[in-house]
Amino acid sequence: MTALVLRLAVAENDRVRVTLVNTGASSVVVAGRLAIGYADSTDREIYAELRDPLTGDVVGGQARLYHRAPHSADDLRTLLPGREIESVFRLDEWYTRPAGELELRVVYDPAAVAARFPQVENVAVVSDPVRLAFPRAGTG
Amino acid sequence: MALRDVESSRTPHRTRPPLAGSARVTGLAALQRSAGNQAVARALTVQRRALTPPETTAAIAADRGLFDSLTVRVLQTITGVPTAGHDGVIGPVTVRAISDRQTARGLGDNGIVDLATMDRLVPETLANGRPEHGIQLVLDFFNLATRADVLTVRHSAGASTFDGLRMVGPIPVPVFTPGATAFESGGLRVVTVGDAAFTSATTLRDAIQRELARPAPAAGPAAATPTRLTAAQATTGLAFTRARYADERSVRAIQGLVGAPVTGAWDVATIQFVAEAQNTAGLAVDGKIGPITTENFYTRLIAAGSPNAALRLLVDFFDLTDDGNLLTVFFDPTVTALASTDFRPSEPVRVRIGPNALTLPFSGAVHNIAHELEHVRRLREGITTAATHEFLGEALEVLSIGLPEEPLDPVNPTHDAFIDDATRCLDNFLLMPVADRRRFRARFIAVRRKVFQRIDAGTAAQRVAHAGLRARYAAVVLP
Repeated sequence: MTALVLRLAVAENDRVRVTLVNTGASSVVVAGRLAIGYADSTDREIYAELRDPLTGDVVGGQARLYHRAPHSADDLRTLLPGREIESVFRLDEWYTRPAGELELRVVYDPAAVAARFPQVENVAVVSDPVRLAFPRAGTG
Repeated sequence: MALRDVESSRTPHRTRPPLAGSARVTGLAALQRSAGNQAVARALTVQRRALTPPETTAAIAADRGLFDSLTVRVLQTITGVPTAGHDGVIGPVTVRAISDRQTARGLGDNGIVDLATMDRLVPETLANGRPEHGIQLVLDFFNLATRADVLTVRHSAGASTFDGLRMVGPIPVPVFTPGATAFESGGLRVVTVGDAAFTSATTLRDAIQRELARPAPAAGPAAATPTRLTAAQATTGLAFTRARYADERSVRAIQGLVGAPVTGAWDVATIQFVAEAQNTAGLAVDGKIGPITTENFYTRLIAAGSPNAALRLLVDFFDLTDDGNLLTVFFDPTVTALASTDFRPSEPVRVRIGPNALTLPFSGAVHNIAHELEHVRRLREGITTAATHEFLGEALEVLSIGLPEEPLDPVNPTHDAFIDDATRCLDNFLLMPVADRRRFRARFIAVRRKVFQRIDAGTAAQRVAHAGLRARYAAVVLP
């Protein structure tokens, strides 16, 4: 059980603010860069999951190939109790998605960073889902 | 909404076969209920007539005269030609797709891309999140001159320029135009066009032309041509440099940097200015712009606020090719990664370089662009697996053929050193589908050999530090 909680705030259906909060009573070392990527990609600390709210099926996909240096020791953060760090990414910049209603979750996954820096708490944290609605195109 | 509302937005064609009976109408109504009007429109579009052979021939001839191969691939993408047909050549399938698109938009359906068709296609590129496609179409369709002094023409949603005041009655009203131009070394332009320019092809053309017409900042007073080199040395330096830099924009960037008159053409006077710059920088003074002088000029261009010109130098000097699949490569301060390429298999794409890339050592900067352009080439091949793309990009870096070698370990926190490339290369190889691992088996073997060589040639401490990675490579069982 981890004391870390991941919170989302989405503005204009695109700008996703991700906040990692230490809700516990003791400090936690985290992968503080919180760089966005994809579940199967490297050099990322968070990734998004888009699902159809009715079926639960994963929808959308990867919009970018990116090139990023590995998480460095300089980016490690010690979160004191009650403290938080945040990161922002643009959903449309990073993910393709269909029109209609979607559920967005973000996953904080420090496994690769923890493998290099054992002081990092190696536990994945999933945000609560946020329901988003994207208008369908016109009649063409 | 009634079915006729869908039909009324389309131009009936006199030879279009009638919808076949009540069963078909009932089917369409069911489709409309289940999937919406757009699906109905698509279904109806399929029913349009085929172009006659003479019409097809005429459309092919007309469209081939309008667009180059890159733009044809854009056109094939946005008109829905199946990806296997994205070959950059206008043929029957492409003109049929254009004709279908024209019909669906209530235009004439002759398959020829005319101004009316362009005016419909361009706003759709923005609506579909592909404004760079609209830009490419317009640059080519209107034959806008962007080769000599334009580093990039790109979209930026809010781009605008205050262009004076207009009197509305007695009231002065500010005029903003939907574009902006920044100038880099040698008066090279970085043009951005905003959302408001995408109302039609014509408005986008006008916005771009307006930016192309903005006068570049006046050059300072011309300095006397230095005489560091003898005439024979200058001639030798000229031949050497001309053979390595073919892009006029590179010439302009360097001329601007070294204080030579900006002509866009290599000449002995420019080489004398280059030699003077070499002397000032403590380099060998020979007027030859080889890798060491290129590194010096690259670094100085970055420092002088000319990142796009600096990137152009790298692409040109190292002859980094894109197989005709690159729309544009540019510096984008919003990119948080080192670089980012549109992940759109079988489509022309953009490469964006982020600010962190400008802090890389020279070899890293070269590798960064080379890695992305490998993506561009492989996207043209239609590879759809991200891990395969990343393996190939990292493999190119590890092998460093024709590229400067990177240090084994990082020199700063954002540096992607050899060992990082090698790690990522292996991670992605293991994520690749078996078929791709088989296809690129020889590439992996070459990478593994190089990784062993580099680690084994490291210091004792490096060999210890990277023994784990070496062992992981050794443990790979090839398919």
